Amino acid sequence: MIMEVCPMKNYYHEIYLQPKEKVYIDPNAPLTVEDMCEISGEDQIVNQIKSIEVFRKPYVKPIFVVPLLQIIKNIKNRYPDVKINILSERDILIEVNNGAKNKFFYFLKMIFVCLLLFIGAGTAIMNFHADVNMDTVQKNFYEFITGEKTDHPLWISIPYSIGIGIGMFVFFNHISLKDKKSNNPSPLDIELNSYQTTIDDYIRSKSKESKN
Amino acid sequence: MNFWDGLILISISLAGGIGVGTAVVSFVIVLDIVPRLVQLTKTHDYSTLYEIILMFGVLVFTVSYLFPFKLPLSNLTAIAIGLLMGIFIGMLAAALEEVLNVIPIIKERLNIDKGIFYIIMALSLGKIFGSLMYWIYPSIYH
Repeated sequence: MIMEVCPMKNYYHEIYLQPKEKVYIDPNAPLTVEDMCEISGEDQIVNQIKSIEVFRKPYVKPIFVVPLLQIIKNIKNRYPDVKINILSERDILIEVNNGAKNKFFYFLKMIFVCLLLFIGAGTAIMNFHADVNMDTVQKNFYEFITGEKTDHPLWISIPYSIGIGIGMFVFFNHISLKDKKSNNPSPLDIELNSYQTTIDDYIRSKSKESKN
Repeated sequence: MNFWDGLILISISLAGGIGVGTAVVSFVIVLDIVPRLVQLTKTHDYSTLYEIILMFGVLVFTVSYLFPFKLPLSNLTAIAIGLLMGIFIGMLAAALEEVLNVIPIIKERLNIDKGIFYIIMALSLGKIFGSLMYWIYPSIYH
């Protein structure tokens, strides 16, 4: 069924597939090869292969793994003569976006996390200061430098507080000198991404286990 | 208290503040507390807001430790704030356990397969009772 592209040349009809790592799909749409991979090859073959369906509507689980062999099998069922080259060996993770986001609960959860982080960060820093006797240190330091005894060494306390703010701000990398949305992610973004990648790898490796 | 003393004081304490701020925040980040919260509540879009809240919390409580001011809030607010403090410290302790691989080692050394849930419950309850005893019986910490 492969259309004769150019009868003079004599090669396999060949495509290159690069599977995506993670795909978010609508629960009502069928899952085609194009959704899951980047396809490269001759235009006519690509157009035919793009729309091959691999899975359809009732998606049982909200997150599941599509093995690459399944895609190869479905393509070979339709076009047995095509030579398929796959450029990755990691299976594809599919996540189904079901259910509309309940805006009120979303907001409530955000408020809870904000409160938790606010109080929590405060607890951490207060316990740290109490542990290291920061106020005694500052009073002694002030007496050491200037020779005056005071209960509130403001000359140290105020720059110290400003310094804490600057330290955190610089750490989180919110200043971008040249361009607005620069490519430098903040450490929190990196940590979020690494955590999410660990979860995805776990799901992939769990689906490949077989308990005998 | 001349100009040079002031300048030395300001620069040294600024440097000290920068060091402490960076250290505290990176400690909280490296323990994966915020990513775990984001995953639980699925509020990925607000991650920048959580960074700002962390900074804000640290600043407000630093200032309140060094220049004590008083707020006229009730006991009920104290209950809520105490609960939040406890939740955060609990997450910190659990994250440290996670980093030290306590539970996988228990599972492997004692050959326990199905009782992991009970082990975690036991650890959490032990922490709760230990903390209660620490605060309620004053002879322990004097």
